[in-house]
Amino acid sequence: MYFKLTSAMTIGMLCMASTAHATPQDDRKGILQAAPNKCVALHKGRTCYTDVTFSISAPHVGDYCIRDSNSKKILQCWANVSHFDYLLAFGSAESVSYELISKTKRDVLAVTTINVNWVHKVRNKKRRWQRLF
Amino acid sequence: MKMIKLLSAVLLFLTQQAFADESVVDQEDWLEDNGLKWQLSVGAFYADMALPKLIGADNSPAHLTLLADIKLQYKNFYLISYSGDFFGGSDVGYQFIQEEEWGLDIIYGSYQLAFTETGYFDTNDPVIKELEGIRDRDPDQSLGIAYYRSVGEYLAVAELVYDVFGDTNGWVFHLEATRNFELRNWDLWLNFGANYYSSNFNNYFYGVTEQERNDYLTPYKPGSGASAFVQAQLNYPIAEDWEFSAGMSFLVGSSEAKDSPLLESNYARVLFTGVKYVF
Repeated sequence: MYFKLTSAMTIGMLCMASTAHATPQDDRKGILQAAPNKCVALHKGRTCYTDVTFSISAPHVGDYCIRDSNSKKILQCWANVSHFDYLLAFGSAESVSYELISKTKRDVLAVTTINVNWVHKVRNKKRRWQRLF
Repeated sequence: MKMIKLLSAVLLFLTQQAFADESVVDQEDWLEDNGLKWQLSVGAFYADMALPKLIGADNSPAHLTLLADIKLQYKNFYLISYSGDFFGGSDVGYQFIQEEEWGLDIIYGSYQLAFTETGYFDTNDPVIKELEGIRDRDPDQSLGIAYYRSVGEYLAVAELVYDVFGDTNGWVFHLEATRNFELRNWDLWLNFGANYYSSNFNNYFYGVTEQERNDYLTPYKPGSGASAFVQAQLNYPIAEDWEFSAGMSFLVGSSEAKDSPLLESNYARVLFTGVKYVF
C-alpha cells in the first residue's frame, strides 16, 4: 500500500509538473515515442529485459542521435532523416531515459523514459521447502 | 520433557534480547529498512496433488485452489504464508545472523501433515471406517535453527528443530539446496533435499497404538525415518503486479512410513500452474 501511495503521489506531482510546462512539451509531443515504455521484472534489483522500439518523427530532415540521458552515451545516429525507427534490446535494473538530439546543434529535442517496475517489492526468503502448517 | 520446552522458550527469549540491538545495526543494509514491510498476493491456481495415501481417505484435494498469501517483515522477524502452490505452509522466523556468505535464523513451523480419523482435510467429513478410533495427529510446532550458506551456485540450508510446542516430543533434521536460474525475465529454481525424523516424531504420526487397533489397523511402531524431495518452479512477470507460476514437487518417504498400517503409499506429488496478483 505504501508503494501505491508513493506511486500516486509521484504521478500527481508529475501531472502538476507537466501542466506547468505544457507549451514546450506540446511542441515536442510525438517526436520520440517508445513502445513498450515499461519493463516488469520479478524482483527489485533484477535486470529487466525487453525489446523497445523507438519511433522518431522529427520536424525537419536532419542528422539525429539517440543517447542515454544519464551517461550521455550515444546509442546510434542517423543522417539526413526525419522519420525513422530504432530497435533497442533493453536490459536494466533501473528506469532509463533516452534523448533524441540534433547531431549538428547538440540540442535535446525530446526525452522518453523506459520505466522498470517489479512484481515483488518484499524480498523472498531464500528457503524453498515449505514448512507445512 | 516439559522442562526442555520451557528451557527452550526461555533460551530463545534471552538470545533474542541479547542480540537485538546488534542485529538491527548489522542487518540494516540487507533488510532495506527496519520498518514493517508487507505484501499480499491473491490468485488462482490449478494444482494436481496427491498426498501419502491414508487408508480409506480422500488423498487428493480439489484441483482449483484460490491463493491468498502474505509476507510480513518487521525488523528481523518474518512471516511468509503459502497456499495454492506446492503443499501450502508457512515460514516463521527471526534472522539472527546474516553475513555475506552465510546466515542463521531461528525458525518455527510444522514439518509433517496433520490428520485425523476423517483424513487430511475437512474435519466435518464423516469418519473413515479404516481410521475410526485413531487419536488426532495434530501438527507439530517445531522450533529450531536454520543455517544458510552459499555453496558455489547453490544456496544450502540445514535446519534442526524440536517439536517444542506440539505433542510429538520429537525432532527433525532438514537439508536442502537450491539453484536459481535467471533466463531473461523468467526465473527457474531447482530445489532438492531430505528430512530425517526422530523416532518420537515418526511414531507420533505413523505409529499405531494398542488403543487404536481396529479391523484395519494393527499396532505399529516405526522408529526414525526419512524423506527426500525434489522440486522446481518457473516464474514470469506477466505485467506490473501480475505473476505467472508453474511448478512441481515430489516427495518420497522411507520404508518406516510405508510400512505403517495407516498409509498405503509413501510419496506425495504436486503439479501446479496459476496466476497471482501482488499488491
